Amino acid sequence: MIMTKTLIIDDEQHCIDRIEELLGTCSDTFQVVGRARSVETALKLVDGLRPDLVFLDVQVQDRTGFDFLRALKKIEFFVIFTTAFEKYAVQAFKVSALDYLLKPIGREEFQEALNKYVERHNSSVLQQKMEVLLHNLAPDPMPKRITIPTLEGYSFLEMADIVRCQSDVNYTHIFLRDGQKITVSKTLKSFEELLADHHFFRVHNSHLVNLQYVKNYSKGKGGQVRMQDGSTIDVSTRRKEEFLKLMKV
Amino acid sequence: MTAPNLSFIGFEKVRTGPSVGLKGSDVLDHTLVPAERNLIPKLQLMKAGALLGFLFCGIFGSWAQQRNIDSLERAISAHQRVDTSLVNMRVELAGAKFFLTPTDSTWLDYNLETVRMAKELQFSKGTALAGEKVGIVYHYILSDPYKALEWYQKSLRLINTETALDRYAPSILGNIGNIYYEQQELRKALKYYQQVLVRKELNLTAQMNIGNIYGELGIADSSIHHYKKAISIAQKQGSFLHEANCLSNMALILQRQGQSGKALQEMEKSLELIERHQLDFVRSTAYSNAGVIYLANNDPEKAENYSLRALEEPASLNNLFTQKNSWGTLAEVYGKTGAYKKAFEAHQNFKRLNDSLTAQDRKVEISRREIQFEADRKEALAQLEIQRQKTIKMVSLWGGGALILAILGGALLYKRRRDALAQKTEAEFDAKVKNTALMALRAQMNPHFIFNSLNSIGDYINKNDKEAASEYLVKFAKLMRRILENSEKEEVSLQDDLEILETYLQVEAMRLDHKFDHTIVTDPDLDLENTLVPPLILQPFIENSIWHGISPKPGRGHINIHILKKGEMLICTVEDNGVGHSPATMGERRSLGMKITKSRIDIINQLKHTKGSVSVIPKTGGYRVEVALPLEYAF
Repeated sequence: MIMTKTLIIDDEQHCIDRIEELLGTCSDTFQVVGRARSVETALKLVDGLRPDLVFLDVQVQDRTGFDFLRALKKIEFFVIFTTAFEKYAVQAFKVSALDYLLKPIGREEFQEALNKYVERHNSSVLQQKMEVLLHNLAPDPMPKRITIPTLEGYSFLEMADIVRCQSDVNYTHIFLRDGQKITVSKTLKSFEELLADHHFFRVHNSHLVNLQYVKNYSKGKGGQVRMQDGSTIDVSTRRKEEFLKLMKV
Repeated sequence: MTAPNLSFIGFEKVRTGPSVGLKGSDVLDHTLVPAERNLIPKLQLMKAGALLGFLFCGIFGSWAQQRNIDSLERAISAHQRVDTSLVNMRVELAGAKFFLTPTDSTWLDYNLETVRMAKELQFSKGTALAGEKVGIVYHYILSDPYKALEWYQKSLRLINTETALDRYAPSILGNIGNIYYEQQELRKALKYYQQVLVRKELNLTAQMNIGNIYGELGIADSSIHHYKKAISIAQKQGSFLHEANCLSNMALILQRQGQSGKALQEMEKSLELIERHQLDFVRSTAYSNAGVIYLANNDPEKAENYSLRALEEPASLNNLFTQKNSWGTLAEVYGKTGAYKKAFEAHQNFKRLNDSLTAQDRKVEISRREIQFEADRKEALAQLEIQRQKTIKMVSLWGGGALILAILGGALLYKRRRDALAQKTEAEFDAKVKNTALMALRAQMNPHFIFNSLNSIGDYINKNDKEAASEYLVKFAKLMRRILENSEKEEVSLQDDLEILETYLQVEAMRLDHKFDHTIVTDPDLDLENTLVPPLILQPFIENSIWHGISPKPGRGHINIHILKKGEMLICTVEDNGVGHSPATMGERRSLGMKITKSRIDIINQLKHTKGSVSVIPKTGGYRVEVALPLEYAF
């Protein structure tokens, strides 16, 4: 069996210990080849070790795991991020569809993450997801991107290209500026969580709209918005007030 | 006022102001535009020259009054009361003295003050005449034709309302004519001047200015006819100034007619009068015209001489028209005599002056105001015809009543609106206070979770159950994360809240070594995502059931959570088969949880005008709490 060479980057020894302990049950397939407690050490180690999998802490002393990734020319390993409560990082992972574990790490979640690695570690997609991540973590005013799992694989979209999302039971249809429609097997709520900080607003149980593309609003009980792509979307009565507030009416 | 006698005595000083009563050449040069492009063509000679018009300054004064300026000033300063005679005297003084001291910048304020006094006295004659004086200051001193026209028209409107004031109209009409003349609205100017003709005292000036206009319009016959009339009046009155000016102007028109010989004759008569009587006022214009005429009569030497003298005249400093014309003539003279460098310089000057005189756009504004005035006047006339003064009074009475009613109504509406706003603000403030209270209450609940859980972890460590401690810790962290995420929200989806409760129940079950199991049943009619609840409202009751119902009980227990939709209410029930409600188990902790929840529901009821409630339903062999919440939807 091929051994997966694993590198653990975390500034706290007990966290490294925890991952090693969790990996212990599957030591026949995963081998911890290196442990780094700083970004510098990790950068020194990574070329020689050529790991297949890296557990990467978000906050490593006064630097971040992202600094480590940025310093690399090419990312040739699978990354599982670990973090305690960095909200912004978690949001970025979600948007980029990257794997992450929250500390303290639960056994179930850990096993799930390993399974994902075994099932579908595909470096080319990972590379793209990383790009989305690093792109979104770059300081503004870079346009933000989102990784969307599709039936075929992944789509990497700029948020500004999304006009609106519409729920269809457990699926979501994403309508793009160029008229394209992407259907994703995720709930509208999950998109609302990802996009709410980026000028998207859920005007209705079934509709999430990019406020940037709202062309006009016509009054009514809840009213309706007309989007730039010509679609007319109902605004729910209960969302009206907040919607108008956001549109600064 | 005594029978007025038109006098131009003060005019020699008038020239210190810009553009005073001097007209003409600018008009001519607009018809010259194509010609002036070809440096000094013949055509220009044909039309160059200045027609000097005189203003209608509204001085109904005489030599005697002139001399009386001092006594007038004394009388004004001695006058104690503000009455019509004071206004009259101030108007008179302004008329008599203004053109002696036109550079005195206080005249505008002085006249405005007179207007104010007259208005206060409701003295329309005084208001109109003082207003005209303000117009004259704007017109001849401040060179602001718009303002001037406004004031003239205001005065004219006032004069038109009272027949007794008719006699004061022509001088204003004349001045309005002058403005149009300056603005090259010749036909309009003519219309106004013709209205002035009816007034004998102003006839001379009017005739002359009409002559000028016909000249500008190229109707030489009419022009000369009016000049001749003016000259005869001037001769009768012994006004050399007018005579000289008319001769000079007429000479120019004759020159344009191609009658150079005749033109020269008249011009020389004019020059002779000027030298004999030292008529400085018309000197620069006449010299300028003489330059044109001598040039046409092939006397470049004299042409140069007179043009240069025109420029040297102190008055020409303030008269761009004269300057421009003189430079034009000089350019031509030098061109003819081969002094090309001088010709070029002269033409440069000519061009510069011509450019600064081009102000076509002024026309538009003037016309607009005139149209407005005409409309106003017609409307006023119609009104007068239709309704008698009395009816107007009635109308104004009714109107006043209506206005008062409207104001009262407006005030009432305003007050209501203000009150409503105040109420709204109050309500908003109230809501804020209450929200703060809610947050505080929620904050109180979190420590319970934390410390109870920490105790449990400590318990595992004591038992040296590392794996269990670790597992518990992970669950506890997950729970804390969720709670923190929701802690800032007033409402969360029922779905989210039940997930957290589930985690909470799992955590507690671990602590009690799975002494109990639990079920969460929801009404199939409920859309859990779309239903909103205050976060963790049931948690204290679940906690009570676990720690005061199940924990003391020997053997296993069960906790049931039901969420049902009942009309517009959401009925949430927590039920256990524990030791039940007994004073012994009703410790302080239990009542605290109940108290906090009651307060939360009370506040929600106040904020949303709902009827949420909490009730403990005793039952045998257990404990049951029902929380009724208003059904709220996210969408």
